[in-house]
Amino acid sequence: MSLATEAFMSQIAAAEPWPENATLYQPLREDQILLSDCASSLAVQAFLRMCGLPVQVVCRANAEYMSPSGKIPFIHVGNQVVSELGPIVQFTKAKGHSLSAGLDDVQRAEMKAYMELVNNMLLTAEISRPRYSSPYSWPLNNILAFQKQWEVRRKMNAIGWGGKTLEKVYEDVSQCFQALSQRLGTQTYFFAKQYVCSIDQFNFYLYKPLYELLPPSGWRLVIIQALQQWYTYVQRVIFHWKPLTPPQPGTPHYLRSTGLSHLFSTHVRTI
Amino acid sequence: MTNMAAAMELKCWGGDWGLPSVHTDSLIVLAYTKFSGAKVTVSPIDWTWKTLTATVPELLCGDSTVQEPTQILNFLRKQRFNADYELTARQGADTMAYIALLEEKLRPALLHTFWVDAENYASLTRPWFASRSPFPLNLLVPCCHAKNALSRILLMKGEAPLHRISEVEVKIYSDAKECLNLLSYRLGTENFFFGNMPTSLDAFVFGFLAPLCKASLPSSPLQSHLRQLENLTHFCDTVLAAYFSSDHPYG
Repeated sequence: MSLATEAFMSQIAAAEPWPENATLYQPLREDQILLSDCASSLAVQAFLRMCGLPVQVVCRANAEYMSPSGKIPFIHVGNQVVSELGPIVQFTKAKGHSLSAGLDDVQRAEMKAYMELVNNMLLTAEISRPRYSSPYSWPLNNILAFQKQWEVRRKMNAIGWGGKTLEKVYEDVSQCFQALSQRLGTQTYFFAKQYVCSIDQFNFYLYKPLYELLPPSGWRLVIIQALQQWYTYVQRVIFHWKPLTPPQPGTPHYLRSTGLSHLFSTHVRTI
Repeated sequence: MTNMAAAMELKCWGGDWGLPSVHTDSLIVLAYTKFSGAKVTVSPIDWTWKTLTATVPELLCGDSTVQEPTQILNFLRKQRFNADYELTARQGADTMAYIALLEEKLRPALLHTFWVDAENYASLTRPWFASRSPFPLNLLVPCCHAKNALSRILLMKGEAPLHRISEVEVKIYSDAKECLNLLSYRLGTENFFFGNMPTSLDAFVFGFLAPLCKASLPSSPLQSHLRQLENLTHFCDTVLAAYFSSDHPYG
């Protein structure tokens, strides 16, 4: 959208407070969602939770088509619909809630750079996971699945990644994880003592869909070693956000808890 | 391990506008060879049939052929030409992140400025590349590159092949301006991105920024934006003066 439209939307956003019935739409969790979309969606949920804004998660098979820009996730707040992490962060900022206000310019630059790195890694990892089925009936499900895969492959080829072997993919993924671990170091969160940055929740949910890659055991160990620091980091964040009551299906808590228990159990099995 | 003394030859596009090469990827590799002290023989592909067939840049060393800037830089590091030796692990991680940022946010806008924008393409890019290719390739080479550039932008930024370039133009230019601002904040008042010696990140940034800085583009809001960021233009000039001075443009 143009800059003028963005400014106008910000003004409208600022006019009303956050409603109770805000909804987040994403594709069906089990089969349909792509890695990068899954991470984006969970990142938005975590971001809104960290801002203290209530949101309900609804899974719809046609979420992609409902979204104004074609990308997921998107949120429906009041009478406005905003899609993608970037615009959603802007939108909540216009309403007066921001996580990154304490960062200086250099830190903001680093944050954006790391988010791009993570995005690229997810795209790479998508190659080894050609899983996109559809809840529609035959032949539409086959056609849509094929189309999605074809789109991903086209994108890969356009940026010269079409010829990457599986080995190269795992190498890139583990390099990226190592880079993120290095950046995290022994700090509590990426940029400060408090969880003030949107990259924290973006990365926090990264491992769950990635872990479903289930690479061969040699590579799994390499990636796990790179993930060691993530473990402590993730545990720290979870400890802070631990719900007091058992989570209900469909809530962000439930998704997070199932994701984490899945990760912990598989981690224990493979060591 | 390959014999270190084996001669290395680099195929790349030739230079103009005060630069050793007008092609971003070639510039990245050329800059890195200077920073790391690697001695390579530079063979410009201008006026040869390779303008259509070759993937540029390409490094030949003994029996091995390496393409793409990242692969070439890895290869040079393995040959112990390592400009990143002094970096900490965290700085290495930052390098990866910033390179990802450049590729994602800046490259589409650069492709658009040089290859898709009608005025720039017609008055600068196409004549330059056509004049550096032998007949009849001069009719084909610019068109091929332009088509690749357009499809790459649409695939990376547009969501379907059906979207038109005008719909994504606004977004790619605002992303690129933001990327330039971020680079400027990160560089600050330093000579290079990690202290006083240039590293692979400096090579990448130089490769991306130098053509935009030096080309005589008739219409480019992105170029005007870059020229306002004085520390970035100063950075390009520093690298050119220190490593590509006129007495030995290639080394």
